[in-house]
Amino acid sequence: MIQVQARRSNLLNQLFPSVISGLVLGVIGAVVINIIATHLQLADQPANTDAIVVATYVGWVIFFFVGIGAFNGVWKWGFARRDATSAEELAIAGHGQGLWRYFRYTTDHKVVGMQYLATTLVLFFLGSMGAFMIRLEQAVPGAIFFTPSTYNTIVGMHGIMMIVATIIMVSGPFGNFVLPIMIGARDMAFPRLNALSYWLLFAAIPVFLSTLFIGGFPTGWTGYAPLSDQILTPGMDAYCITIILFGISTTVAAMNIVTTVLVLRTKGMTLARLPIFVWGVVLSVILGLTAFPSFIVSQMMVLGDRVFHTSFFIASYGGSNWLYEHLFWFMGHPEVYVVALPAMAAAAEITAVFSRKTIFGRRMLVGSLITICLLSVLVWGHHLYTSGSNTALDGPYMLDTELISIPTGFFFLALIGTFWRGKIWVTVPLLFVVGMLVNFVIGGITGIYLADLPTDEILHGGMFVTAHFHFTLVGSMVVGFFAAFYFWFPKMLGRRLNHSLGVLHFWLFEIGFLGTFIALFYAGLQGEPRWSANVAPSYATANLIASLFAIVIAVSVFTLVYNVVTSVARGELASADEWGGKTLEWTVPTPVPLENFAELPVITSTPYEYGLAEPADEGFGLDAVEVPAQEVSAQPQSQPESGA
Amino acid sequence: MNTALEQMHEIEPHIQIGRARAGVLMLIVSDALSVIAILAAGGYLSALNVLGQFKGGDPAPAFFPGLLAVIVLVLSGLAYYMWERGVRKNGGAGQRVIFILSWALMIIALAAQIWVSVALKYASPFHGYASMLLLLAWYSAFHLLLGAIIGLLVLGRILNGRLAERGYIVEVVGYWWYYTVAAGLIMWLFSLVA
Repeated sequence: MIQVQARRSNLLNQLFPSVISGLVLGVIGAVVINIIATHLQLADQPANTDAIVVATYVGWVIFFFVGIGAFNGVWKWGFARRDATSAEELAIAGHGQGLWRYFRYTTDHKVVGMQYLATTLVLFFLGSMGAFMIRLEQAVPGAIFFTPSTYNTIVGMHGIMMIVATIIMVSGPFGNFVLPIMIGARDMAFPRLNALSYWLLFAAIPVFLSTLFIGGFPTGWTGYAPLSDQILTPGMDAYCITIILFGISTTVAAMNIVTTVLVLRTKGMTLARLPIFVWGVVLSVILGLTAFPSFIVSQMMVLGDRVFHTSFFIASYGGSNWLYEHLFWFMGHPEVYVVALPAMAAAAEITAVFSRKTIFGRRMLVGSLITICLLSVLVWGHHLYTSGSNTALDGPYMLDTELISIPTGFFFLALIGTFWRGKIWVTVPLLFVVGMLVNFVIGGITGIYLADLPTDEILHGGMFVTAHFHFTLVGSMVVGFFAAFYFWFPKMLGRRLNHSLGVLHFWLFEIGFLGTFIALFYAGLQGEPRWSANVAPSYATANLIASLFAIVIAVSVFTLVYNVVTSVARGELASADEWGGKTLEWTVPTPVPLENFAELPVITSTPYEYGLAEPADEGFGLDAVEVPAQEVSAQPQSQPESGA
Repeated sequence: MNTALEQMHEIEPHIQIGRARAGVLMLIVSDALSVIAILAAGGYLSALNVLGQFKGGDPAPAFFPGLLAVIVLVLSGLAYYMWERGVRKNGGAGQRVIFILSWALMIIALAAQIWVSVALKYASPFHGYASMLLLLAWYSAFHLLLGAIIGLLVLGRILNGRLAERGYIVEVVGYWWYYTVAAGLIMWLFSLVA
């Protein structure tokens, strides 16, 4: 009897609080708030559906967070009579909870990193399936599967899903899992805020997916006002709530990462010795911290227009569509660099490891990343060249946009200089770095035509733009993410990915990607517009070619999925220092212990001193390489508790 | 807030303080950017005055209710400052009553701000000017609500005798408290000149 009671109590402890209790309470809260909001409507006035929908989503979010236990820590901080005991804190960090810790409000940075990784992969998978549907629809002229409205919703959902995924893809998984270890910290500065940032993202996903069932949002991913004001379906409200939740999540994560790097660096880890990846992530989140508030404000204003009948974007009442465009693109263009900087930095990190050399012009590279960061907040106006706004600032915006190509050029110089006379070990991560460089050159050069007002007048709003930003965001940065994914997967999951499948994934993706988007460059040069559900006959050949190559990309995605699933299930165990890297994450055991280091290391050198190192296997083998790690005065020891 | 790390591997006090300062300062920067975005949006719409409809004949908000709310808010900031100074002088122990006064003033300011916001009797659909004033008024109220909640949590720690052990909390909460006062004041001034 006592055993049964103990088991039941244990089960209750596991379920409450957890994602299960969060979902249950969130749904109950949403229903209750929906009923209350419906009854509060004035009988003599038409129902304000938008107000009901927004209240329902707010109810979902608040009660989900109550259910998952997000407020427990806040309550205890203020009103508990004592601090949490060591055992209680360990429980919150996921100690002894096995896989279940991934489904709770767990504070361990490695758990949060894994949660971000899983979410990123799911978003990428869903987003790429959306892309595949778009290419299917555009394979031949005329409507095939979808109505124009459904097609627009699919394009919008694909866009937002991919933008969200690309923003979090490096800073989320690797910024959380790897970065604290890289700087010699035991966790993030604010572990509870770390969990909050992830679960805010999680809470936004059902809101976003619900748009499919309440009319969609045919504005596309930009949600341009006043179109978003005028759309009668409540799907647009869901879009706004999603963006606000995501914006808050990103801001919280940014505050946490910057604070962690500022105050939790281990002894000797000076700014000059920081790994380049840490620089990339920190600069990226600082940029996000700067850019996202205006995006959140823009969506608050759209909700105001829709729910409370304000007129921020309605010209007949003194509002302006340009206001939305400014607020949106003040986020929208820096956002590209929020995506780019950590991926570029990861590529530099990987290049150093597999060239067995220090990064060429490391300080120059850091300086160029900082310069990109500064310049990128001043270029948003180039998105308004053809909007009819005042032309006085076109020149400065054009100049500033083109200036960014100079520090970006330093990035190429740094990587090529690192390859130069290096002892190159051709691995899957390095293949993706090379692919990234190739695609980034094409994406960058085609961007110059869009930064220049005279050519942009011709090319804007066409498939050329679509192809350009796919080369930048997908061909360069997502490929950079793949490099980071293959590089840190063994450390994060403790298993090796299959090398041959990795190589196959690379070539299928690269060939499919180049085929798809070079064809779309051609269609754009021929004059094909972007926002058209049906392909005109004159662009049919280019679109058919693009769609056929998209099948190759889809096959590459399934190759990756197969590789990940089989490797996790029965892959070889990874060693602690899988690639012979010298940054601190390679000095801790795999799986990484809960507190990362038995003793905090003291740093005495930069992490790229490869002077004496030799790759153990020049071919494609994945055997661990014995390379002295970043010089530390206290070597960490293994601990029994697994953190990953 | 504590973490497992602090329990098992005591973080040095200066790092705890640095962490708290950096976190709150970044929160302030992020929030200040959203306030700037709203003010810039208001200035932009005012300057554009699309179709001459920005104001649409709407009158400016009543001066004295807003002034009253701001005075109460400033008094709350001053009371907090007095309490913080007392805590600093007495090695972590300040007069509770002064903090309670500061917190009560924050709540009164919140109530006054809600009253000011509700009293903005513009006709729906709102013109750009009225839209901006409503957003500023309610955003300001949201700030004060956050201040009141934070004050409640600090009061809980004071009553449980758990503030002295982490004296830096008084300082970093002060950052947010003063920022709330400054942001409220700036938004009110902007609403007068828009």
